[in-house]
Parts: sequence; structure tokens; C-alpha cells
Amino acid sequence: MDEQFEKQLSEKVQNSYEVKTSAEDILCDYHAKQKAKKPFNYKVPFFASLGTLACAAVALAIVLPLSFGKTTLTPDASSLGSLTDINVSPLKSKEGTLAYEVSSVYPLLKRLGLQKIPAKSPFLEFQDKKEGVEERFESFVESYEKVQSPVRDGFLGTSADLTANEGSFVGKNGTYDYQVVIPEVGTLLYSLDKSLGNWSKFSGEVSDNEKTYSLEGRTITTNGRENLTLKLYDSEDNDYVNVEQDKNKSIFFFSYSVFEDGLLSYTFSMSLLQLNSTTPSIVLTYYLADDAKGGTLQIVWKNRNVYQIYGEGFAKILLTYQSNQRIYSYLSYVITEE
Amino acid sequence: MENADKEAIAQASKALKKDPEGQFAPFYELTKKRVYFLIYSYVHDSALSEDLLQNAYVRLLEKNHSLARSLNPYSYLCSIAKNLAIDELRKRRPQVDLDEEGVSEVIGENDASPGDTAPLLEAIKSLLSPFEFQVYILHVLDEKTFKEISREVRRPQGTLTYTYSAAIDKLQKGLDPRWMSNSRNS
Repeated sequence: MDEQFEKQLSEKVQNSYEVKTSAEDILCDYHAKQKAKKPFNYKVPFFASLGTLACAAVALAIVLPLSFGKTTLTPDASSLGSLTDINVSPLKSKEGTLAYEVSSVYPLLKRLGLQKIPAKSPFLEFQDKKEGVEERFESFVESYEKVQSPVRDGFLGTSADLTANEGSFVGKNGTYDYQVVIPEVGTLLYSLDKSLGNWSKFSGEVSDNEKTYSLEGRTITTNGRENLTLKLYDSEDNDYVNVEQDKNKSIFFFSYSVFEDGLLSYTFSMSLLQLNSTTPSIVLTYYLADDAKGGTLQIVWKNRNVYQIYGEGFAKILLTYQSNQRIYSYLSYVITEE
Repeated sequence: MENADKEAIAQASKALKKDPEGQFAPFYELTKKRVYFLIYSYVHDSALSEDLLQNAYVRLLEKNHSLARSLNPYSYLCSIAKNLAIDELRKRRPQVDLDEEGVSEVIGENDASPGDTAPLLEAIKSLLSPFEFQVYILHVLDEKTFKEISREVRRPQGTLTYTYSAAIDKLQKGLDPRWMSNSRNS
């Protein structure tokens, strides 16, 4: 092969054509398509306004009349106890409080992620910091406090009371058998198909002041296992949230995945494990597609008032609940929050 | 692709992720020819290649905010461009299984209207088989290595180097010498 010929021809061919489309043409086309698209409200997307709290509450409201024959839930802010007491939802009993607090990481992360400025979750901000140990510890506590705040604000002291009314309720998309008013969320209407043995299918809708979201899912209740899958979606967009929770003997699992325009945007999962007969532990993982970042935290129950938090670059942080205070300690550093 | 070009595209890609609209023009100028010829290697039609090129870049801009940090916008752009080209061919030739090995020997063949692109390319196309033409374009104009082309067209590297060498021989023997003179570039 004649290399000189090859090189000469290559240069000639490369110069033989000029792309006619300009960068400006493409940007104009892009802007036109953006304008044509339905504007997406990043400030209050449905999965932020209907975050983990709401999903768990919806899931719980559906499971309650199914499995337990109870119609009232009163979440309690007490500390995590024995895993054996935990029922289908982490909201269901006082034992699930910590799990529930941890699960609140999701909506907060997502909400912050959607704010775009600075478009970082508390923990992602934290991961990027390079200061000394004390500053990093302060940043961590600040982040952890942030992610816990929705739960404290929503549930500590002001217990939610979910009552499922049975009857015939007319919604936007149909008539349903159950109605539950969920504080801070809206009204849930749903119907159950219990004719499937251990399986039950349900469908319904949740309405707040602005929108109506559809939901569908199923529950399985067998010996030793209680499982619920739920899909909440905005029928006008290709945005939806999948929720799954599963209690199987010594494991409680809760996962939450958010899809925007059909693409995975965020996933969060929490596993509540019983390390031994008296030491429940929570493993929390999250992944934020926009930032391509995720993380894992492990929270171990020591006693009713003391928890150990691992992850995010720390060997062990102690969190102690004492007289309405939360005391974080790491090495010789102590931070008290009220 | 030369290392300097690779580095320039990598830098432009990085900048594009941070400021998609502000940094689009420099990214586009660095990559447009490669993307154009990548598309052209499939569809063999200049006007269509321009249209698909525009669509590919618009899609990149639309998805830029959600691209994983580890994903290079240029690689993503090439995937979009290739998929758009193949989708277009699927529309034209629904009976052809484009996923099969060797499909590049039939795709785009005789699809272009005559004289719609640079005359030199037309002359080259007339001398080479469709597969040789595709390898030539991807290697020379899209500046892909044989390893990269191998992944793209699902052929062994040895086959590609042989095909390319055979193509150069054919061109050296068959191409009108006037094309190689300094007075005529296109």
C-alpha cells in the first residue's frame, strides 16, 4: 500500500465536503423543540410532592384493611425496637420510626437535586468537601439533620391519623370502595380485588389540590411474607414512581425508583436487617442519575436511644436521642441539635 | 483519531456537559465532520446525512443534562448518530436484518441520488464495494481505528485492515490522476 498516496488522498477527501448545517441551525432546532414540549414543572414534580412519605402512607393505607382489619394508623416517633414487631410498612408502628426517618432521605435528595442550584443533595455536597475532620463531621450532621427534618416536621408530635372509610366514592377516574385522607398529601381512593387467594390487586387515584395521580399494584400475603408493589403515575406524562416493600422473616426491604420521561432518574432502597436477635440494622442506598452518584449508609440500633451511623467516610458516628435533643458524636467532637 | 484531536474532543465534551448551549459551537465544530461521515457511511446520502446529523445533535442537547457523569457526550453522540442512520435504513429496507454480520455490505447501496455529495467521494464510491467504501469512510473520514470499526461493523480487525488495504490499492489503480493533482480538490 502506497502510504504517500493514502495520505494525500485522505487529505483531499477530508477537504472535499463541508457540512452545511451550522451550530446555530442546531441550537435553533433544539430551542424550537424545547418550546414545543410541554413545560415540566421542576419545582413541584409529582414525585417530589408525592414523595416517599406519601408513597409509604398510600401503601400503608391500602394494606391496613387488607391484612389487619384495622382502620387507624398512628405513627409514633419512638425509637427502633425489635424487628419482629415490624409489620408491612415502616410507618405502621413505632418500631419503624428510624427506618422511616431514613427513608425520608429520598424525597429530600430528589427535591434538592431538582432545584438545580446548586443541584446537589446534602450528602453529595458533603462528599465533595475536602476540609478537616471537624468540618466534615459538621457537614455530615448538617446533611443528616436535613434529611431527617421532613419526618420530624411531618410526624414527630403531630401523629398522622389514617382512617380508611369503606363505601362508594366517586373520583376523577372512577368509583372506588375505600377513601383515606392522607395529611399533607391529599385524598386516596382505591378498590381492591380480593378474589385472587393470597394475591390482591388494587387500583385507584390520589388527588391533591392540583392534580390527580393514578395508582395500581398488588399485595401478596403468605406465610412469613408480606409484599406490596405500587406504581404511582401521572397519566399525562411518562413520569412515574415504582415502590416495592417486602417483609420476609428477618428482612424488611423498601425500594423506590423514580422515572422521568420513562428514564430512571433516581433509585433509593432501604433494607432493614436483623443482625442478631436484638440488633436491627438499616442499610440505605441511593443513586441519583443526574449526578451519577450514589452512596450507602448503615445505621445500627444499639438501644432505644442510641444509633451508630456508618458510611460517607466516617468509621462510626453515634446518634443519641435524649430529652428532645439529638446528640451526634464522632471522636472528640460532639454536636447537639434540638 | 489523533491524540491531540481526542484530547480536544474530550475537553470540549467536558465543557459541553457543564454548559451545553454556551459550549455547543466549539464542540460541534470539532465533531461535525466525523459525525457526518459516520452517518454517511451508512446512508450514502448527503442531504439525509445532514438531516440526521442535526437530529443527533439535538438529541444530545436534550439528553445532556441526564447523561451519567461517566458517559462521554461524544461517544453518546456517535451512538445516537449510528442508531438514527440504522433506523433510517430500516425504514427503507424493512426486509433486511440490520443486526446481522455483514449487513454493512448491503446497507446504503445505491440509495443515494447521484451527484448529491462531493464528486471525489462519488468517484471513490464508484470504485469500491459498499463494504470497502464504509471501511474507508470510517477509517479516513470518521478517523476511527480498526479496533473501533471492528466493534461497529462486527467484523474482525484482520478483515478490516485487509479490506482497507485492498480499497487503497483499488483507488490507487483506478482513481483518475486528476483528483490527486493540486488544482482540483473536489
